[in-house]
Amino acid sequence: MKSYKKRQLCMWQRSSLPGEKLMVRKILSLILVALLCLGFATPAFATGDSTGDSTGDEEILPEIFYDKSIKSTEQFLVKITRPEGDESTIYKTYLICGSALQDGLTIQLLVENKDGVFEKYVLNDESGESSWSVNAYSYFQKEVALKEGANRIRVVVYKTAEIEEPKLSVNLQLNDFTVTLLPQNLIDYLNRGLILKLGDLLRSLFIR
Amino acid sequence: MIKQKFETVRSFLLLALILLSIFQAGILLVYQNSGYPAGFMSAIFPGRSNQYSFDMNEAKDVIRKPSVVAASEGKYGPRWIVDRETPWYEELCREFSYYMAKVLSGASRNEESRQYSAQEWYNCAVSKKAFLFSYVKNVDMELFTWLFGIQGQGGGTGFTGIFKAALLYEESPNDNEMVVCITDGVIIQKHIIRTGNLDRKELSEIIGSLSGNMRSRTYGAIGDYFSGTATSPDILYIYSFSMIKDSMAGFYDLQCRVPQEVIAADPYDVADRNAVAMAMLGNESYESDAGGDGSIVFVNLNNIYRINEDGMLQYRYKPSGGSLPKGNAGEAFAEALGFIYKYGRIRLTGDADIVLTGMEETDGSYEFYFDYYYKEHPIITDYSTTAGGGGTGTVTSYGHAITIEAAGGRVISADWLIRRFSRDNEILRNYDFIRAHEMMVNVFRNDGMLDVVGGEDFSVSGAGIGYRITEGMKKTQLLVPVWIFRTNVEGYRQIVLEMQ
Repeated sequence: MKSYKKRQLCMWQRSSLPGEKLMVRKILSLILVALLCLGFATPAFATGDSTGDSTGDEEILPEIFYDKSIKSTEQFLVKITRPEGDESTIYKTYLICGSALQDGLTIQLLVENKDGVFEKYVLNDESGESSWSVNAYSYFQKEVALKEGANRIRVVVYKTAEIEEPKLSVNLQLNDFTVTLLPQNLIDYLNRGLILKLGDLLRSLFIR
Repeated sequence: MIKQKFETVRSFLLLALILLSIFQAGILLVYQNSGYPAGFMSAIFPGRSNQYSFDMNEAKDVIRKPSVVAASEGKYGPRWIVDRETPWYEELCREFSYYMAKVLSGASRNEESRQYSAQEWYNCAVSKKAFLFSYVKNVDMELFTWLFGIQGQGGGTGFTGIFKAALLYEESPNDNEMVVCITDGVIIQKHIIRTGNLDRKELSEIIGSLSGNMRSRTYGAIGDYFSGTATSPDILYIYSFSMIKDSMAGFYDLQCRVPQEVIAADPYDVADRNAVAMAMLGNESYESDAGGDGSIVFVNLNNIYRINEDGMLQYRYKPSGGSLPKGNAGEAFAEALGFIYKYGRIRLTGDADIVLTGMEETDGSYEFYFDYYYKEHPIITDYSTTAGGGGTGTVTSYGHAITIEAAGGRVISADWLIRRFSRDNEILRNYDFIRAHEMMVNVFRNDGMLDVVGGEDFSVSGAGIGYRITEGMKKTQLLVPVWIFRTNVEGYRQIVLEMQ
């Protein structure tokens, strides 16, 4: 049996014309390329559905959320404990914290992009989410990544069941903050303690 | 000749008898207990009775240490708890003692004074680069000065006691002076004091070492992130400052058992009762009997001890007549400390420490409360029992591990839930404070009291991880770590929640 197969193989090798071999190679190459393309395309289907308690990144939010002409409202749904106003920081991540004042709320984060338009601000926790639910008197603490310079952040809070009819200061709270990430060279300067040393020098001149 | 020798022997015998009678008179003056004075030779022949002596200075040194020592990197930065196993703990406690002595003896400069509130303490101390020291409650000034051997009553500072202190090493004007912030829970004062053994550079290096130790557990402060809420801003909670935030960490279970030494296999067996007496009463003499409800009772001229089979020790002083002079808090506390430490009773607690957690002064006496702590974690006592009630079924509740009433140079009564603790398995648990806080809110929600949480007066004065001893426990019980929240709502003063 084995010798028969050997003879068959040898016969094929001897009898195949060069053109035929080339054709086979081309077909094999095409099949290989097709398989590779399918293999690389697989991750594109792996984004997964949104899980957890958010509305999902693909959800379309009411336009009023993005309206830059709207000023900050009173914090009647959620008390934002951090930031309390505009801030500067030397850290590349920032914690947005607060305490909910009512049940059944959703908090949505937006950030102004380089085109000056608000877009969803994805949290820095690998969840891919930009919003979450809260209940009355529970605390929240969410981390976001900052870009160097001013980061204009909008915290939108709404009653989850009433998202279809958002009314400012009734079931919708909007608060804008600017958190500035100081440039790296200034951070280095501060870290070298030169400013502190200058302070010490001034103190020693004026204080006995 | 023989007669002369006889006279000499008789003279020596007479002399010996006279000396013995003086000796006996001395024993009776000091001992004042009925029965054969078995231990009277202990000063000359220490031997067996050594285990019953205790060093008051050593006991004071242990009990006066703050219940929490922490290092703070400042606002938004990490904090670390410096526990007894951390290398710098003893040094930092010595620094604390030094600065308190200086302040209370008037050897410091008071720079600033303001009313105390948790927010003010956070602003003054917790939000700064500092070393923080705190007791569970304000330690009365009389007691504090006695514990630390400080003359005077506060050096004119106006403090009623010492509750918390902070070394603000970064605010120090120079290397020779330290800024120290102190509060008694009524006022906060900032003092400038000559630097102790650790200058600001060395203190900064300690912070650097803690920061560089990746295994150190880090804490955040409520005031950093949740200022203006009902939770006290100076509370520290476990918080991960690393990139990976999975909120899971290992926490030990604790084996909690009634020490074998305090339980008689058969209360009706004299030998078994004597074995318990050796562990608890040292060389005191006594009469013993079975209490009829599984307990053992030891009685002598002035004292009654009852040890129940659940490990509850109850002591009562039998007054011979007339009231006792009250004395001062230091004297009373010395007696209370002696009760805990003598005869080696302190060794019964195993891996747990005994911490002073409160004091009350009544008309005729002082009452001291002590609780068990495992490192920085409190072991709260939430214990009720009918034992010791003489079979009447009366339920007695105990909110502290040890309660001692003392006055006039002696202990009047003591109740001590004797337990020995040992570390068990370390198990991963969720330490996310946000989640625990929500669980606490849900307790009110489930009881239809959510509006109380939203009220302006609602406050959470304490939150952390600890353990709990409850009623109905067997002689050996596994204690698992729990969340403990303290609120100002009646019926919800202490909320205990399982860790996930």
